[in-house]
Amino acid sequence: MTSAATSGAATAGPSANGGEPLVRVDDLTVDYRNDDQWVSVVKDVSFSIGRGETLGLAGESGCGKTTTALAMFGYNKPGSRVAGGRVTFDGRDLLDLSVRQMQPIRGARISLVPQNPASTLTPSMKVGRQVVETLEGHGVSSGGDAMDRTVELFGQVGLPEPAKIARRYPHQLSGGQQQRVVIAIAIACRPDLIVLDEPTTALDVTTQARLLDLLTHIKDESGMSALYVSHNLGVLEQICDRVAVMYAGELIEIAPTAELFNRPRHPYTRGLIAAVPRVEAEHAGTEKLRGLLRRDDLPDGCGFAPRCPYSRPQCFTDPQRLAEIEPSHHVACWRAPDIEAEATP
Amino acid sequence: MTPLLEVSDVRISYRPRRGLVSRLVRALRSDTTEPVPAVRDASFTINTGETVALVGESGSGKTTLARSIAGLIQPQRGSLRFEGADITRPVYRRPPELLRHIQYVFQNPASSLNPRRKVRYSLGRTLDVFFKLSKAERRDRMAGLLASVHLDPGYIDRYPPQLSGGEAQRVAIAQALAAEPKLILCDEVLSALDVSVQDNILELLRELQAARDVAYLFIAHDLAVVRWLADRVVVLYHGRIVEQGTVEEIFTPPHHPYTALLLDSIPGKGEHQTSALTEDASTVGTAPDAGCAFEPRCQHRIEGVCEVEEPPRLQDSPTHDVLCHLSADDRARVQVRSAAAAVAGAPSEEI
Repeated sequence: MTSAATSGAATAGPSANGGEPLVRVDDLTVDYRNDDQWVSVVKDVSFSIGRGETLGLAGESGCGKTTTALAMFGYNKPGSRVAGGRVTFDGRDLLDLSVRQMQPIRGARISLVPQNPASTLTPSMKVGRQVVETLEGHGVSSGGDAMDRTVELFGQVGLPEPAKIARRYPHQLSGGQQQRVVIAIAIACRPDLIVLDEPTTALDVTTQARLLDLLTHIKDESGMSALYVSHNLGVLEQICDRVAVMYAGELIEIAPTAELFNRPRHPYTRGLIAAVPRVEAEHAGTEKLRGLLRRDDLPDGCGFAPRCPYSRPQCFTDPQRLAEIEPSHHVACWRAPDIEAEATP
Repeated sequence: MTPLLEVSDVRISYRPRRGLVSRLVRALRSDTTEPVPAVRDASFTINTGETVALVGESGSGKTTLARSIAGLIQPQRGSLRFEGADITRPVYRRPPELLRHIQYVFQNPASSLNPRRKVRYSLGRTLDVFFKLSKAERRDRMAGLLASVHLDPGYIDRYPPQLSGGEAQRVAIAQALAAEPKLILCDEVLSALDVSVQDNILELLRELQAARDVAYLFIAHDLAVVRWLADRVVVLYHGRIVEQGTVEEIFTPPHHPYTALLLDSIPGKGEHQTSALTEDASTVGTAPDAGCAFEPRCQHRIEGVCEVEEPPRLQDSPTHDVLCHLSADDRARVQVRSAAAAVAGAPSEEI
């Protein structure tokens, strides 16, 4: 396969509804500094998010999914650098923008819901004030109008007695209520894209179920796009239009949700699906994931080869690139056709 | 047969603060209300080599109950018996043999292991407290413990921050095993881990149980993870046991309406019957003074009964009891109907 065929548009799956996607990530590579060396934690990742589409990003801890998601904000953590690639949002390359140019976009057009609401909210400020600050900061509304809008937003995210809650401090709210406040802040300026980084992982299953329903409802009403990051494919199955799976910094499979769950092709995706705790039936033991992702012990070829039940000697030496095997279903595994034949009796 | 652990009618409340300022504030507010018990009238048993899952949302009293079994909190009422002997006393009044037999594994291994001490120290300390071993025996035991949780011998010289979440939880489990306990209290041991790692730890727990005949009290908020581990399940809501039975009984309708809600909340099963938009968020986390604690959130409440009278404990089978005003037949009827309604996309009716 030539490098031209694997870069850019060829690997960025088509967006759900055709037309120009809202976000396009092309060959994104992000390095972290480890002593004197730069190590790539995200390698040549390409995908797109259509308008009104929800894309899921799945993978284990340390696979680079959060780093990829944070690239939507044109910045990354200290000690890291973008070594290559582009993130195009509505026609502009976010990675070229300065901090000052990024300011009106961040929070207003692209917003973030992080994992832990307790550490996101300012503990010494009433939660209503924190929403007002966002609205005023982006010049959406101010003063009494901003407060009215805040109460309206709190109602929209299902907080009981919104006016009363607005006068509370974060510690006076439950974890689920705090996360609703964070979601209210994220949707306050009616963004085009909302990035959700494991927003329900710290919460109870019942609270998680209510928040997922709420997010689905908000998306349907507002038509905004979303990038939803999670290690639990069960959660993504429920809320996403398409799902992308990452392993060791690389995108290894991307497909529409139903297609990915009905016909997962990459052995790693099959393992991740088998790992989702379910009530109905136990999954076949052979598909379960073995071992852990070890960044310090990756072969030259496919990163998953050491843990893969289907691996062959070539897997350890030949790098795998995403290739389209069905319309809009891309897999980075040369053995994908055999695996399907072996797995279906 | 005497059960390994017998919890009978346990009631635990957190005492109001007794400092001068707190008392003064209460006096000025003429606040004489009794504290709401964190656990009330809890009774269940755990047999040797058995896994009992304790399931409920945060604040339901799961950890409080586990802590009382470990002797870290004293119940106001009721009794705890271990192999027939009364153990309703704080940890510092328990004989060393009993301390050895009940071990605790916490939710977050990163905070339960001492970050400045090597794995060698954490494991060795437990061995030194409970056993008199020669140097060679001590070394062999530690190697055996690491092997039993599938960690290489080299891990003995690692510090906890050098371990991944799953590895650290394995060390924490090895530390509990070092005491050779009969009962391990596993408090949300999976919540801090990735789903794929959760799966590995579940597998390990099953394997260790088969090899050592150890019993687990397995605390979780997610029913799906207990499905393939537990023998019996105890469902806790607001400090009360609302349903308990064998794992088959809990997962087969009719359920307690709260168990039905927990089952419905498991992600990745498509349509929900109980959505965020039908459930009023203000009812979550509070319980009324009278009647059934779950009544404000219950889709099938009986007006004039559920908010007034304490629900009876119905015996669906000798091993299965449910705290509910609805009979098993009524529950079966509404749960089948709401499942059908969810398929048809219509809201479920109340009976």
